[in-house]
Amino acid sequence: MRSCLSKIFVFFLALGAVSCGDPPPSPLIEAAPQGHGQRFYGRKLAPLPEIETLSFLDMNGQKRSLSDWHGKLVLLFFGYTHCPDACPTALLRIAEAMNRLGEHDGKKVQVLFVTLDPERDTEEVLRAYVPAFHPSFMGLHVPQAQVQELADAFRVFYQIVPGTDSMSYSVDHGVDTYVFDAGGNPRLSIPYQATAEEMASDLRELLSEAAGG
Amino acid sequence: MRVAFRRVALSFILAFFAVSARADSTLLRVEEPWVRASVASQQATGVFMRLTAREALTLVGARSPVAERPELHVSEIVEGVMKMRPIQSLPMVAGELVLLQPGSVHIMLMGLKQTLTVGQKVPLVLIFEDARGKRHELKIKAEVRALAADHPVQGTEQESAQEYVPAHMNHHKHP
Repeated sequence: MRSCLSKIFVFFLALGAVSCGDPPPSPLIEAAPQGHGQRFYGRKLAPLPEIETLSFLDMNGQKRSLSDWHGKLVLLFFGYTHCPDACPTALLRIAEAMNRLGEHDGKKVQVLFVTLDPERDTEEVLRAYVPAFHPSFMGLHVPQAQVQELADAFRVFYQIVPGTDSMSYSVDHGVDTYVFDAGGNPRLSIPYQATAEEMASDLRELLSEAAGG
Repeated sequence: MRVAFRRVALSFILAFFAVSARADSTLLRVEEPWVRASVASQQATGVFMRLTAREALTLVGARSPVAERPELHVSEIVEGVMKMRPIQSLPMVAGELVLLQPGSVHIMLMGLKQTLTVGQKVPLVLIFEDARGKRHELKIKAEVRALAADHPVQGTEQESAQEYVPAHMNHHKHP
């Protein structure tokens, strides 16, 4: 089943590549500079100029922008609460990475869960869901009409797939975790497959860099 | 006299249950079914388990009092993108372990009617067909595990496999 679906997906990817003439743009990842691969498990995140002007609402209804967390490392994960496994698994792993950092370093990191399904993920749902993984995690949302713009700004894959009725759609989405340094600069895109320790190791590296080490 | 009659009737009923239970649990073995806990207002969550069909069977659906529409779904991550799709059925080869697990095939409880909290046992009826197209049902209870639960804990299947109360679709309802 899985391999069959993979083949179908690869086929459509190939089809897309052919019919568009050019290969689909992958602005997410810049070529890794020399030595980058040794220092970090995550891949280098390209500049994301459009995110500067984005504003969110947090799960408590407060208006937010990413600059609110300058001074901390920011981890961003996009998902939705109807996601059966990828989102809980990823959030669980991020929480484990936070635990590995320990309380002192953990305070220098803010984890943000950005829903791509604000229609179903109300602030009430986010308030119950997000801190279930770690009390410090914060949930963010934008109005439904701005989700595409948000996804485009972060170059994160996002597609609504209709279900059996109007409320049972699923949301295909990118599952990498984005990391921004304390200055708000996009730094890493950590693949879904990364272990909690690999993620923690990347965070320690960025923290030591900020400390001048 | 009356008591004796009741006793006979009761043992007859029990024997009937025992027979039908054995019939369906020999068709499909279910181990470690679990449901991911939900939070208030959340409308869907996943159910996971290990299935072993004794003969060629096809899982075609499920029902549960806690959800309007349990659906068979498959999710997978391709090139860093999570994709989830409903599927109509899941064929099971005789004797082969089929894992309903995060990142793969699972049952989605769509239209949740209540918040599912850790430790709660969720009744679920698995609907499947044999090679002749005959429909069977197996009644199970899936334990709710933490929202942040990862993969199932191994090694408890013997214990939990005995908890299930199998039932047959057209035969009876529980008294």
